[in-house]
Amino acid sequence: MAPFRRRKGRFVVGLGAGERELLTELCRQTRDLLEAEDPSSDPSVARLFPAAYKDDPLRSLEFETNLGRAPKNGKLAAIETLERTLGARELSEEEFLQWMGAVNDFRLLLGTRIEITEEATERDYPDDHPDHDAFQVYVYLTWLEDRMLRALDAPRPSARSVGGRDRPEPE
Amino acid sequence: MSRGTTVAPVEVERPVGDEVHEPDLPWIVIVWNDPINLMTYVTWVFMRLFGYPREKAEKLMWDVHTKGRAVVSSGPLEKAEADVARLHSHGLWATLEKES
Repeated sequence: MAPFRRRKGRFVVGLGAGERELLTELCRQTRDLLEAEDPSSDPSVARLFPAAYKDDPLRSLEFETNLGRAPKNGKLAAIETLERTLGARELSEEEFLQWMGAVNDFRLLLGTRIEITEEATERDYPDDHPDHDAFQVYVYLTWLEDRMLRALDAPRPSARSVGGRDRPEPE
Repeated sequence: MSRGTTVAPVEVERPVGDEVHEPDLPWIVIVWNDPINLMTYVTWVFMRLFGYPREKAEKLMWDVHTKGRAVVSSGPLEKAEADVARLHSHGLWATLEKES
């Protein structure tokens, strides 16, 4: 079953129970990270909120201060939508885009944490590697996001090596 | 900037310092390459946020991927900062700087 299919402006979801469980768990962990007292001390969380000025920390801080809680609230809202609609068989486009935003954030957090590279393959994360399981989840999320983009008819310039054609098994 | 009414050039004594021309310089928004965001996703974000046609969005995505960075928009400071905030909310690594 295709994980996502567009039908009359809505998105039909075909996820298995294991996939929904994994996404629920990722929602919970990500919300905990975002709501931690000092999330900026975690480099993977910092990746979600990059500096706006490359070599000007003061100006970046001012930019950050002006935005206030809006960036974090936006990400939390996407997670809430994903959690709330995880059992749904169909999503509105707005909900579907929130799903994709949350999944992309999961990939950013996870990829940063396991120090992923563009060329990373299974061989870089063998069975005995401490990040083996995290890499499996990352590959699954890559595949899932790719399917979301297909459902949105996003142009496909080229295929990425990570996230093959077959549905990876979530751990 | 022209108001269209001045006939003769007005002599202005320049104050010391370079901040005088600051408001006239456009700001550019740069997206940097990262190993996580999918090429398809980056192209889609450029189309969605800036309304760029597919060809332009793909060209920018390839510039990011192969050259490490691309200028994706430009304009006054407020617009550039708003664009950076929108790119960040979509998970792209974006910065702004004054055009040089």
